[in-house]
Amino acid sequence: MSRRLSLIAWKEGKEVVRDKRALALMLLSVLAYPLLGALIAVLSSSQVINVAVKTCDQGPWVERLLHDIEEALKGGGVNYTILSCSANATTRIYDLIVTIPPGFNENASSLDKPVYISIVKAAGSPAADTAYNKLSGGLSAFTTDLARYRVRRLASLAGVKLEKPDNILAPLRILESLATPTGAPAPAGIEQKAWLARFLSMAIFFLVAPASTIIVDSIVGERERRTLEMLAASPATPSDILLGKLVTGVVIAVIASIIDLAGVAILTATLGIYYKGLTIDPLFAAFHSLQVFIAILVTCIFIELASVIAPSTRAASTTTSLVTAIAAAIFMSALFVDFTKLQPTASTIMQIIPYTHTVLAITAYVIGDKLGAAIHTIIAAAYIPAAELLALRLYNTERIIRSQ
Amino acid sequence: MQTPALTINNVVKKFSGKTIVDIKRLEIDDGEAYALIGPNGAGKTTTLRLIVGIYRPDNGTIRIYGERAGTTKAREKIAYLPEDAGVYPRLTGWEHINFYMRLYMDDPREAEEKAEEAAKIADLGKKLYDKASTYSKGMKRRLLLAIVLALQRPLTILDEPTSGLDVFTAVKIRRMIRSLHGKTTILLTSHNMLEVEQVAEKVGFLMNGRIIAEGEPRELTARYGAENLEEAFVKAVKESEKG
Repeated sequence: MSRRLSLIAWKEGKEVVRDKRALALMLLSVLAYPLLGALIAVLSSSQVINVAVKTCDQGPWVERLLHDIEEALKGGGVNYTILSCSANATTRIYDLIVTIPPGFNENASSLDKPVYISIVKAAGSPAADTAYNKLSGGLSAFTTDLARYRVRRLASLAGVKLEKPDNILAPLRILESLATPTGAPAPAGIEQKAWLARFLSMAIFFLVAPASTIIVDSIVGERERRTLEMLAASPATPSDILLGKLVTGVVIAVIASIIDLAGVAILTATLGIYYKGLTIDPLFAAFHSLQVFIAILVTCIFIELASVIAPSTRAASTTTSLVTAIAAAIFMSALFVDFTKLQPTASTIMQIIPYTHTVLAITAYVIGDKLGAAIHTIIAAAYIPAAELLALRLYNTERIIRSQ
Repeated sequence: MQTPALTINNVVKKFSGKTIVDIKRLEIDDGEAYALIGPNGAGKTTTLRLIVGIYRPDNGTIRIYGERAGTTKAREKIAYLPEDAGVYPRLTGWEHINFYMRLYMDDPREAEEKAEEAAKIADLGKKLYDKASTYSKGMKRRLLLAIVLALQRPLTILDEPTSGLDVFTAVKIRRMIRSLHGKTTILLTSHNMLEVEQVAEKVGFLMNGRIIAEGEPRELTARYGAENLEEAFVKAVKESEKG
């Protein structure tokens, strides 16, 4: 490193380390991880769900249905109330109201009559959706029991000996298993880990956002504060100035990677309380940390490039905001979109964006595709020297100073 | 014959097709204090930026002690204070001084000595060790000017060194510039004719990017039959418009 470059790097490093507010914001990300984990795991399980079952009939099949419903709704914060037929139940109090109408038992006892129940769901309520999903399990169990009963009765009427009525009810048996893209059996708990990987891909943005604030302040701020002209007139070369700025990115990326390691550890510990058996391999934590490092350096380089090519200071600020917005869009969508399953056109466009490779690297690592993880990591990292070289080529002191 | 500190030959600079600077010839001798004066938009700052190598001329040549403007060798010979130069808010005054001294000087001992000198010139007391974000406009200007002066480059270029400052700070800064006489070549721009009369040995009147008159302040006032430099400038402008 040349003397002047290391001097500019020293100056940049000092400025970054003293930006206490932005650093505090980055440190807060370490809390954002477990907080979000708690939001997902704890809050969703601690929401109070009220379900009412109005019974307007009696009999063994009613008793059976009530039992299945109760079993299905047990736990998970569901308050289950059985009401009389005349009771006034509204969706203001109850998220889900199940009514067992008169004649239910009689119809269920017959061989060919349909059995009705009515369900009223509170509109737009996630609690009602959760209750409905739980209830579906109970209703499915009841339907199977009722179908078995009817098949047995029919067999008895027909004088047929029937040992396993399920062979009539569900003759197709499905043997499910999970496999990695290479065809190898997926390790146990991969579903949970894949979900966690998606969440952790999204979480990278918690670190990229505050880091980009510091980087923008360092790069665009040099134009805004009018410190660049004196520096540009000094014997320092454009490469000293631009590479010196890159050091800011490295300092921030190292800090962010350490914060990320701590965040992943705390998140795992938090989620481990609610999802028994969920652990994160320390190697994966290190790999995730590496992705954070690369994503922040890529952000730094793109902000630098945007600042170099922007025709004015305002345009530089706007363009750098765009870089952060793209990062937000990619990392946030990682939670809901499987980037490996995109249509060719969409996939090609997405592959141009370096952050896509960060997400794909994490996804590949989790499902055991180490080669894919390495390739996507290399592609994401390759943007760093490529964009830096482009920035050096496009760097034009005259244009930058004129636009101040 | 001694190499001139600055030589400009047939330099033209245009922005969006409009000629901003068109200087046929300008030469500043080593050790001379030269002031470029002219109204806003006359091309003063553009001329200085061409000299320090931030802008490239569309035509012509600029040499600093024989070196082509913009090269590292040429930039090493120049200490430049831009008009609205800013400071790094999270660095202290002392860190600013050290940063620039080490940026220009290879020898750490020399850089240290010059840094002490700059600290004395800046005269900021204990504030020198506070972050620059806490400085007033005058303090920031004094700090940067002290850095530029202590660098003791062969050519010191100051763009509007006292612009926007209160009277007391301006007087202090003019005294600082005068202390440089004989130690370095000075090229400064200013609107303030009083300042120029106090500081410069030679003056160039710049109008629409062209030098319309040049000479010692007394010589110029005599040439235009004026009482002071201000009046001489007005007459020179009128004369150039006529002919």
